[in-house]
Amino acid sequence: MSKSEKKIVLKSLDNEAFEVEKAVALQSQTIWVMCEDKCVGNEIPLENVTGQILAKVIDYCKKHAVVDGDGDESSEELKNWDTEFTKNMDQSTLFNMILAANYLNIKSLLNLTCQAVADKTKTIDEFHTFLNIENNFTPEEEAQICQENLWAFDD
Amino acid sequence: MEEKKAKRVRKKRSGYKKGEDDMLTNLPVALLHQILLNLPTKDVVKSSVLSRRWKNIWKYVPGLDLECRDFFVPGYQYCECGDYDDIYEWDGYDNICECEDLSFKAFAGFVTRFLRFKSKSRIQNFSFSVNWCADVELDVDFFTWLINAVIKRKVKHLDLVGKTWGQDEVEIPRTVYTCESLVSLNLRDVDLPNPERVSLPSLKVMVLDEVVYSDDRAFEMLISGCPVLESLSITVDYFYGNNVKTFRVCSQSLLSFTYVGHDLFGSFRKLAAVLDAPRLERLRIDDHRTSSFIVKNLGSLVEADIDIAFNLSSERKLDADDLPKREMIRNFLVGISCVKDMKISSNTLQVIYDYSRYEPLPLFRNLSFLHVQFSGYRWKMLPVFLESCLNLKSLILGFFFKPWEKGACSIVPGHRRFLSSLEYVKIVRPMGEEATETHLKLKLTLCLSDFFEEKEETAIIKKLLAIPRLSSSCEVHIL
Repeated sequence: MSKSEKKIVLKSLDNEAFEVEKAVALQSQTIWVMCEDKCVGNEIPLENVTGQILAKVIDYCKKHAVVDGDGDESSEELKNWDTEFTKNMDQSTLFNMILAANYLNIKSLLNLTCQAVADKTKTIDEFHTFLNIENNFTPEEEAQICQENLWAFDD
Repeated sequence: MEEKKAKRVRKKRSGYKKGEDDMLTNLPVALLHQILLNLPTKDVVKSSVLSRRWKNIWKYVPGLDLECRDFFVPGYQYCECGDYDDIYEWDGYDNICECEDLSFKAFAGFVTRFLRFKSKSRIQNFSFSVNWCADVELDVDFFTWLINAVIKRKVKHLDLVGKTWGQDEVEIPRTVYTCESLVSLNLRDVDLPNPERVSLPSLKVMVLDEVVYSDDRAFEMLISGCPVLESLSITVDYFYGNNVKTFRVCSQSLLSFTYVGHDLFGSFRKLAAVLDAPRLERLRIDDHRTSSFIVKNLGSLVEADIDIAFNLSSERKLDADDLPKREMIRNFLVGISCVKDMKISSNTLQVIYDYSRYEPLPLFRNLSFLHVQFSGYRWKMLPVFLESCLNLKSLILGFFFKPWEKGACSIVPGHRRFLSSLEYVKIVRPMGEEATETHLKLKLTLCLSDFFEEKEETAIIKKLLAIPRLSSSCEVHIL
């Protein structure tokens, strides 16, 4: 197989093009299916993902790809890398990553990003600030809801 | 209480920044559930007070992550707020009223309502920790009913922990053995009944942590009933009643295996393990008591983390006349010798060193990365093993303790064979901090300041600088 056949071009919503190894891109089930269908050439348009997010997704896929037997880091190193990867992402990047992981169907990335959001929303206050949700309950309504599952609101 | 609540409401409202998007409105509900699946159910339920839109979202999350302790709050009269009457005779469980305990009622009431709401839908995750708690005495019939109800809803990930400190035995119902939907099973501190039949056609990941099995056959049946199992981790407890004498793991699909032995009380129960896994890539053993570890067909092995002592120690050294043991150790070393990346403990190195006095070591031709973790001073054993590593590129030396004995710096004595393939050496000082890096051949960088006393350091530097260089490109840098 020649070198060009092993590469694939991913084009983002805002027309940014990324050339990546096929083995890297095929971690996405969506891209895999597109390639199988042969309805696309070497260039795959991804209409739901911006270049900024796609670049991050590709970083993740590169790290997790096994290309020709090398690049296989120990599982522990990979785990640490994953933690660092999501650690400093802001709310909007994380949500866009979740949407991208979902659209591209990369299960491990979806799990990772969902876990990262969950880690940042452990308390009600964190929920409100991180997810930016307005509380539109009256205090009476809220008390009523607490009463329904009192066990969960004791701390 | 009222005052506390009012305070919380005010605080919450201050967190909201008007004008900015509620990102979650853009997120499909299925993804929202995916996020909430990562939180303990207690936190998920709390989301009901976020806003009107969030009031019922938690009910649709396809999973539960509960501990008995969640429901234990002295002084609360849970039974007055739940609708327990209509739980009776629902889904085959009609026993709640006999239990007088309020915390248990709160727990049982919550899960039954939740599962009833989900009577037609699937549950992805079910995680339940039966931690011992005086006020939540888990009714055995209810537990069995609960697990069966979850299995009926085609659970994929089942995680059951019995942290009862021997107060109660948590016995897993037999139905788990034939749960077709199960993808991962994580059991800790629970009893598994004697299986009649095991069929877990989807199970990929299994963690069995201090689980009690009825006998060798029961354990073997469990493993052989998982045709697509990829990852298995078992932790053996030597102290608590365990009826298994030989852990036999034979799997055509297994990629990763972890075997840990907990030996807190110095029990002398004899244990053996057999591992036959032709596709295995990652092996971790952390056990000193298992006296026989037989490996077969490990030709695919890539990564190994080995801290094994075969029940040998400084008091019980390898006996030259113990031919079966020598043969077992030989087969073990030959069995793992195709590994590329290995972490090894000084305990294992000791065994290898003792063994090498009677028989030559097998060659580790593929080994390119070796990390040795020293717990004490046993430097002299390392060169013996290094001679078997013909193609070693990286060597990392780690310590649990500071190597205080004299002569600690002569890692590879001169009369030994040179490690010509070696490119990188790193000496990590205790506590896993960043430390000395040595690039042989090209560059030798040493950072010794926090590791050695000043006097020692000067001595080492003098010694190092006095070493004749074989290559002109070799530089010595001391930081």
